[in-house]
Amino acid sequence: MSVEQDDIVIKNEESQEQDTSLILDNQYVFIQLPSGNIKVVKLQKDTTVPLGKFGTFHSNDIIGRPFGHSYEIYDRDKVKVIKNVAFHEIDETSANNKEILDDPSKQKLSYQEIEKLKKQGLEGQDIIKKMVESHSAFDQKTEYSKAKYIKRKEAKFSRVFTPVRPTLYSVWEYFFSKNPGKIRDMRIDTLSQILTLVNVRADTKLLVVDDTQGLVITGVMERLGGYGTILGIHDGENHNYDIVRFMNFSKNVNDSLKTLSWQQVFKEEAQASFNYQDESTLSEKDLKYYLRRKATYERIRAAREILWKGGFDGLIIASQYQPESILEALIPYLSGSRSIIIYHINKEMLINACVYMRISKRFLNPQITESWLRPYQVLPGRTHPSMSTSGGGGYLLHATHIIIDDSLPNPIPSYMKQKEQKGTLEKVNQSCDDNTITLTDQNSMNIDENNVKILNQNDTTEANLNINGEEELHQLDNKKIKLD
Amino acid sequence: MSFLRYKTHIEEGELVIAYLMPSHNGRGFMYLLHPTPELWTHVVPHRTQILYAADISYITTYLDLKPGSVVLESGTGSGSFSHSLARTIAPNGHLYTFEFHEERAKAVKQDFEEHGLSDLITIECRDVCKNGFGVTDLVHAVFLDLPAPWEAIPAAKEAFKQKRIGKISCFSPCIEQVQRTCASLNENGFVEIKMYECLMREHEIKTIPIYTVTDAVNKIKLQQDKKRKRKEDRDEQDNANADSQVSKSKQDPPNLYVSKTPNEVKGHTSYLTFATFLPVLEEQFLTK
Repeated sequence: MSVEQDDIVIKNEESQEQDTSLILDNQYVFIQLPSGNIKVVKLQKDTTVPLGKFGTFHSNDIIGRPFGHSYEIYDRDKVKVIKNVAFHEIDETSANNKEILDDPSKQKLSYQEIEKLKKQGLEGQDIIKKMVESHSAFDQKTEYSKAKYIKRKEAKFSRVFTPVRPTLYSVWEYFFSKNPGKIRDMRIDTLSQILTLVNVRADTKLLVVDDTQGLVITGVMERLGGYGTILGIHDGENHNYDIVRFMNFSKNVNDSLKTLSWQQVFKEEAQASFNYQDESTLSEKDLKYYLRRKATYERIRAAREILWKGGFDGLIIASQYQPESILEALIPYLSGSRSIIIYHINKEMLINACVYMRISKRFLNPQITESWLRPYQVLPGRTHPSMSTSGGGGYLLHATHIIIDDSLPNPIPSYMKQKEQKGTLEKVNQSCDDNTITLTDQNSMNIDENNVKILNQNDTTEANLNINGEEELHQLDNKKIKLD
Repeated sequence: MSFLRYKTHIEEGELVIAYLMPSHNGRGFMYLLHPTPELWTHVVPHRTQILYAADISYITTYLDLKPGSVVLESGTGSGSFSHSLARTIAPNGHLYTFEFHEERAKAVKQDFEEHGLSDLITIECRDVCKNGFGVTDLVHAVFLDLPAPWEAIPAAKEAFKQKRIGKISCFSPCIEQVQRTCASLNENGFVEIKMYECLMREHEIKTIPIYTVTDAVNKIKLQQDKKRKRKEDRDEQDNANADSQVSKSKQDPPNLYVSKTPNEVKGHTSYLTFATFLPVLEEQFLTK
């Protein structure tokens, strides 16, 4: 007997999907400026977009073009596509920094003169050329430091901007550099691990507790692509998933998100009743108000039904609230053999939650991991790790939810007391029979090896799937006794 | 059980991942788990070196993969990463994967069929460094896990959808490979060349008792008491009042939950090199 999840409706409206590789009207776009800063713009046709000291451009000049190219502003507000290159090959020379003195008088062009050149409408590249020409010691520099000098000047005088396509990566990058606290300091590698470890994909139904302004929800929505359901549990009365809108999601994808506040999660918290009225008797003004109230009431009622029906395929938590309390509230709605992941920037919060999981019968192999990310500069002859980098991207507590018959002895003993593991395999199989689990025609102990891949504890030490934690705790208890 | 659809009950003849927790008395527990690409990575017959979760996750995001993405992968290896890719791009994307080892390609093809992934994955036995991919203007993203990725980069350039932005990732364990790869990416017009290392390390949890210096003093006193008692026993001095000054009632000290990283962890998997494919400019595109 197989029960396919019936509430996943496959939507096939690909024709409605916009081409996300084009810059389109009425969509968010990130503008990378020469200074390295990023400006976010909701592009509207027939408008002028100001870029501060770098100039302005007309939105129509870039709408309809593919993402990827950079544009240079010339003649005040005209743009032309410029050829992008990753880097220029640099020839090694015998020059060194022996003769280089830190002396600003080497630059013969004054600030006023440069401003004058800018006013004359000289393009960024020409100004930089002029500055190089009037730098008396430029030739003494090594080729590497020449390249560095030009790069520094480009950040200041160049008028080249690049429209950047909103992707999970670019949206994260924008918020992480601007205000990491707003997204609970979550780094993109950690977020990526959440999405793979919970097996986020199309045709799933996921529970997400997101206090990261919707960053996690955004990632989940993108990976579901409109196929499946996301139920977001949010803080406060109304959700604050501010980040979602920057992705320019289609209606399909936006519709896959349902939300509930914490108050609406609990069955004992009754939903305020709603009086259905005859719509024809209402005035236009009253009707508008009535319809809005009705829509909200029905949205919440439907979302509560989705939650209470249960059968979720994963639980993701990135919240300020105690993880154990969230697990207590939401675990009953999760199916068996589904992943749970809890994110927190402070490991201490996860340690207690991990102990809670170990004592409980319902979680297999709870494990705390930390991601480590090191960016490099790769340039010919100048390859090295970046001099400064993010110090930490947060911690994850990951486990698999399992269904266990409460009448059975605990397979993972509460390590504080029990020393011996109890329980037998036969009993587990018996309970399996009750749940109509049939592996093969023969009785369950004789497993067809082709169908069951055995994941042995001993095979997986490298894969971090071990449960050594428990054993160590026992050992430690023994040590403690000796010390006494 | 399908890698693309969750089920709540196991049917006859289906793939299940069994998680064993043996006990020293010969008994133990077994958990029957739903297959996922991550679990499959642990049980896949190790025909080649496999990618790790940290790398898989980071590459998937950096390449901007989601339902509908069209991806090219080479080599296929054990097919472990192919499973992850297929999971992410389903139901309407496609994966073209190339493996030059014939036996491996056959075995992986059978895995894909048994796991219901055949509609999503096209696998071909082909030496891509010599003969290219045989596909043009087709994919959004390229992943190269080859000993000499720079040999395949010109062919990868042609495989990209020419009118839109694309992302490429090369997976190489050695820094010399990275340098040659970057030079080739630059020559072939790729931009935003970035390189990262990404690792995941575990933090093991345990409890430690918190003893104070008072406990330290008591411990010494206890030892002294024992010694004295032994001496007294030897001297046959029968003195019932020789009870210790230390209170007999042992109290458990308070416990503290702590965490620590394992003594040995994975220090390096591979360098992840990324670059952006730029859409061919329309003027150029038309004259071609």
